[in-house]
Formats: sequence, C-alpha cells, structure tokens
Amino acid sequence: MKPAVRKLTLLAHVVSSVGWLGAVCAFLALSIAGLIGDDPLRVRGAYLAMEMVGWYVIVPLSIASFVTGLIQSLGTEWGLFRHYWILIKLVLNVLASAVLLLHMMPIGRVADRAATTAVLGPELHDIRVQLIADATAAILVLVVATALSIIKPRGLTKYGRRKQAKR
Amino acid sequence: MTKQLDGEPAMPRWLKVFGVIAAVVVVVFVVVHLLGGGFHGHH
Repeated sequence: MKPAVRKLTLLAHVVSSVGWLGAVCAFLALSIAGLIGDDPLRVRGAYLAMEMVGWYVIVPLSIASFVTGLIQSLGTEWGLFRHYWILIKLVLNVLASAVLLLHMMPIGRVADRAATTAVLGPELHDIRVQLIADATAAILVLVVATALSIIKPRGLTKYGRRKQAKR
Repeated sequence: MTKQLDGEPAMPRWLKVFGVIAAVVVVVFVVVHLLGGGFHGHH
C-alpha cells in the first residue's frame, strides 16, 4: 500500500473508531436521561434520539471502523492474524458490532413506544436499564480496543511466528 | 514497527491477564442480561 493511501486509511480508521466511542458516550447519556428523567417529553425525546444516533451514527461508524481496520491490517505488514493485539481488536470489533445490531431491536421497541405513547409504562423498565448496561459495556470494549491500538503490546501468534521465520 | 524478541513465550502474560478479565466481563454481562429479564426484545 502506498504511504499516502496507508495514512488516509489510518486516519479513517482512527476517526471512525474514536467517533464510534464518542457516539456511544452520547448514547449512554441519552439512555440515563431516558431512565431517570421526570419530564415525559424529554424522556420520549431521549429514546427517539437514541434510535437516530444508533442507526445513523453508531452503526455506520462501527462498519467504517471494521472495514478500515481490515484494509489497514491486510494492506500493511502488520497483517490481520500475526499479532495478538490486532486479533483481539478484530474479535472485539466483530463482537461489539454484532451486539450493537442485536440491541438495535429493543432500542427500536422503546423508540416506537416513545413515539406513540405520552408516558412510557413500567413494562419497558428492564429494557431501559439494559440499554444503560449495554452502552457501558460497549464503552469499556471500545476503550480497550483504543488502548490496544496505542500500546500495541508485543506477542506474535503461531501464524505470525511462522511468517516471521520465513523472512 | 515492533519486532518480536527471540525467546519470548508463545503466549505473553498480558494476553493471559486479558483473557481472564475478558471472561469475567462476559460472565457479568450475561448475568446482568439474565437479571434484566433474560435477553428480552431480541426475538
């Protein structure tokens, strides 16, 4: 990969990954505001905003982070399966994206109810608590992934060792 | 780019610590889900 292209994809990867983390922080703030808010209008607004942020910001950024990460690793000598830290980042990214997509359904349920009901009933309380837990877990995962990218802890996989031995 | 040092263990210590912490976090996540009503709304 040419240096200019490599830097461009690195920039895209960092921006999408950190943007994903920031968007989940906003999502967490909305989920807390939705649970503890007293004003029904604000509560409903929070859940409607969460659905928008989820579909139009978090999901696209997670996909962009995954794709640019693949390009970045496969297009350089870092590789995708040679270093443990890159492998772990891949697993974290795939898991976080899968859990995110899975949880867009309950978010949609709460948002649909918020759009049609003046006051959210107690039947959605557990899901609303769950959204806070999910966002907190997502932030933890994304902070770990960011830390791995910065620290780049040493350690080659078996495949990485074989590749290194061939050189 | 960081190069691997010779004689380094096949599985670094940070990876073992990371694995244990990750396992604990996954268990906590699943328990919180189950206590919250058992993965409702996913189907």
